[in-house]
Amino acid sequence: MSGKLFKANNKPNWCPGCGDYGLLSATTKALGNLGEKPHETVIVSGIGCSSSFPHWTTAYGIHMVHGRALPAAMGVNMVNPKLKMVVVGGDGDGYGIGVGHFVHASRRNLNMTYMVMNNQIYGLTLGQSSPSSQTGHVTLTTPEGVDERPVNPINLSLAAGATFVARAFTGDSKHLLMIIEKALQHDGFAFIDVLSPCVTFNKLNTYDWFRERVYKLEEGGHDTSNISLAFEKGLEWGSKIPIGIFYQGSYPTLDKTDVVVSNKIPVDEKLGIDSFKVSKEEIFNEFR
Amino acid sequence: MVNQKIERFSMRWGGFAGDGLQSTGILLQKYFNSLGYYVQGFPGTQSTIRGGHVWQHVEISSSMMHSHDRKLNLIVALNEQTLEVHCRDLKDDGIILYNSTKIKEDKLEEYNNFRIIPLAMSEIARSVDLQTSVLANTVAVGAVLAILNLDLESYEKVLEKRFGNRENILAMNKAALLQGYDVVGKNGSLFDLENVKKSERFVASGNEMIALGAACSGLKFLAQYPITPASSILTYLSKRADKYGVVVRQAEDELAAINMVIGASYAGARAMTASSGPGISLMAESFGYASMTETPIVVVNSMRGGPSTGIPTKMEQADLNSMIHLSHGEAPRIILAPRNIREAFDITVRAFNLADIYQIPVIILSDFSLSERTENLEPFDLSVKVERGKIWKEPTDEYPTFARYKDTEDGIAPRAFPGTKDAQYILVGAEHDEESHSLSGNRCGLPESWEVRDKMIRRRYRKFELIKKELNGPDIYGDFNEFTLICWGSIEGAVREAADRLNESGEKFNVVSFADIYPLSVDKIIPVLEKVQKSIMIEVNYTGQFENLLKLECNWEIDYRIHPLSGETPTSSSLIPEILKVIGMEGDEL
Repeated sequence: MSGKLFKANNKPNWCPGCGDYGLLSATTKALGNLGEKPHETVIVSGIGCSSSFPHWTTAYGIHMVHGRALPAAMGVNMVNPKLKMVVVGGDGDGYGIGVGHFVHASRRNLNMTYMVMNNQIYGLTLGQSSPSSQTGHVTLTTPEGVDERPVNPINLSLAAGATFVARAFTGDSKHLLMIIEKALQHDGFAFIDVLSPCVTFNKLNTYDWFRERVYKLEEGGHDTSNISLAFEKGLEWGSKIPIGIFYQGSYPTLDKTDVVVSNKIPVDEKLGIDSFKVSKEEIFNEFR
Repeated sequence: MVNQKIERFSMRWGGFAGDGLQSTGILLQKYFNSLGYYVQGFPGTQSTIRGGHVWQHVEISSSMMHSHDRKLNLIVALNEQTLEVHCRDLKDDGIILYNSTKIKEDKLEEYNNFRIIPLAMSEIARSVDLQTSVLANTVAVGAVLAILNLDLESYEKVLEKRFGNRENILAMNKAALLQGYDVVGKNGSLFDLENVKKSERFVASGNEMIALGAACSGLKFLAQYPITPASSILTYLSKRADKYGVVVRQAEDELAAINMVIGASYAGARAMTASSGPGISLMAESFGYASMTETPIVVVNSMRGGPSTGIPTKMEQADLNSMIHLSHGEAPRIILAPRNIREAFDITVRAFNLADIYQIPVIILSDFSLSERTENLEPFDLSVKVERGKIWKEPTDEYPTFARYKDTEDGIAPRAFPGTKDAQYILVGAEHDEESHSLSGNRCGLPESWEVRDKMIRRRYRKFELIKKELNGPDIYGDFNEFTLICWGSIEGAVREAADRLNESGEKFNVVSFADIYPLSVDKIIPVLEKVQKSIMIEVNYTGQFENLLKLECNWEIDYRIHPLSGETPTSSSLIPEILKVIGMEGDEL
């Protein structure tokens, strides 16, 4: 029962076979399994096919403007750290227009899970190249093939300071669920690059293409506490694509270091001078 | 010899950036404030950290001032450029106190119509302490006190408060002060200020009053990216985050700042961001999102000269049009422009209440001049009325179930904050129905959506019509007579002073000033405008943006217009010749 608590009655408008269904299903299950409550959970997204995700859940949500999901989530988190925060979006949203915020959210170690449904293509706008499109990929905007190198989200987030960095594949739902549950339980910024094939516009990076290549880091005995090793594994992309947890470390989250939020829940506080630690006289005296 | 008694005294300190003039200016204002005088301070800054040319204007008076003025009684020249830039503003009987360590005596020759006092500021400072060059300012303060026939003890108290238990620095400053004083000496005094009673007043800037007003309104979250002239809101609140219980975060850019603020407001906190033109332009998209999702936020735009980088350290009133139209589509918002530092506090309080009641983004339109100018104010009540508008916490008779955008009579439906049971909804920038389900995607263009779209737009604008009725009309200063000076925002003080001075030779001018800018409360404005005989609109932009708004909304024509465009803040002395010129009068015709 708890596994269905987060599942809304309405149906997503994603294409049949879209990888995003897998993430939606695994995420709602994971949140339920972990005993989270929909009215105390906020799911924040940006713009793109995948960003309509919050609408298919029973939680609170913010469907933000393009690329700005993470700052909006930070705003929620910094005034009410009791809420469970999940942020989702696509590769255009997170690695393109919003990549700056991805770096800063990692650096701040915000206490939230960020999952990017990476399909290496712009789907909602009908098939243009994305910042994670493979070099050589022929798309609407790259008729000669992509002539730029793709972003490396794993090493980018590691370098930026994320304390949980993983990759999952929506074609392996059991493994995906396991990774999400670990991410949701992580204390700090938990990032998952979710390989989520676009069955309509990306005819290159298909389910089969990934199935031939993905392998699980944990099966090779990967040490998730070793960040150098994580960077090394993060460079692997091609005939072999690692999935699983690259790195998990620990660092204080922003809501624990901020001078105000670390001591109180701002939204529960009184408003105005009654909540100040200084008197009116002291305030005016500073100006004298 | 009996000194000249003087009611109002203005001085300007000029030097290099890094000379510490702004700090000295604040100390001087606090000093004169402690004696009971009214003070005005105005910084002349450049986008330069060291070198360049900066100045600090300090004006004192035994009676209330509305603004600083351009005409000077005293120039304190720390370097030669100060003479070239500022002596044009010196009154005929003005004094030049110059740093004779740095400025050669022959440079003063062309100014020998003024009273000139040499003072080896840097040399004396070095004799006190070799390392601390800013002591030169304190040496000069000593001399200024002597010129004004004031005692040293009360200034020492200001120093004691400033430097606290840093005994070494305090001792050096006291020594420098005494030596500067002794050079002029008791016999060298030239002016006596009129006597005043001590007061409880305090010295603050516009940005400080916006920041304090926000905190007293229950601000819980400020996200901001540094930019002149809005940064001092961020720095003021950063320093007091714990004391005021405000989460203060420096964002990576203005896009992040406004989106953080939207998130915090959605979660139930009063939230604000502040910036200036370039940063505000970046916020445009999400500002529209706040309007579309009816998320209450307060955005401070402290205007500087635009477009683009423009003149970052000077004022302008040229962002009005872009604030009315910030973001695409038709997105209702409120714009309030404080006219003075005291009003900056009240307007900020109102901004938060209006934002919450009408669930709408509110822009506080300040500018460099209001934000960075300082003056002293009477203490006032900091316990303000907080109105949070409709909030849903549990089923009620009126709202048995939660629907975020219910089509209510006044257009306003209650908000619910995450954590509230049975009220989960998705905030969405796409058009949405009463339950905040998106009309984008599979419902777009279906006949059921036509009706919802139409209804939602009309509902949002129903609120807007209520706001029009609630906002204030203009303030009227003086009786209606031959001419009415019309203005909005921060220049009101200078315009009032101009009217007062023009009226010294016969009552001809009054002032009508606006703080509630958008939407205009037409029903309250028209009866005022009907009393105007000849109107003179003064606004610091080229195209007459407020004039055009008045024309559009009130169908009302201005007779004369003045658009000061130099970048320097208008003062009564700069406005009076302009006013006389447009109405075709000479000074002696008045």
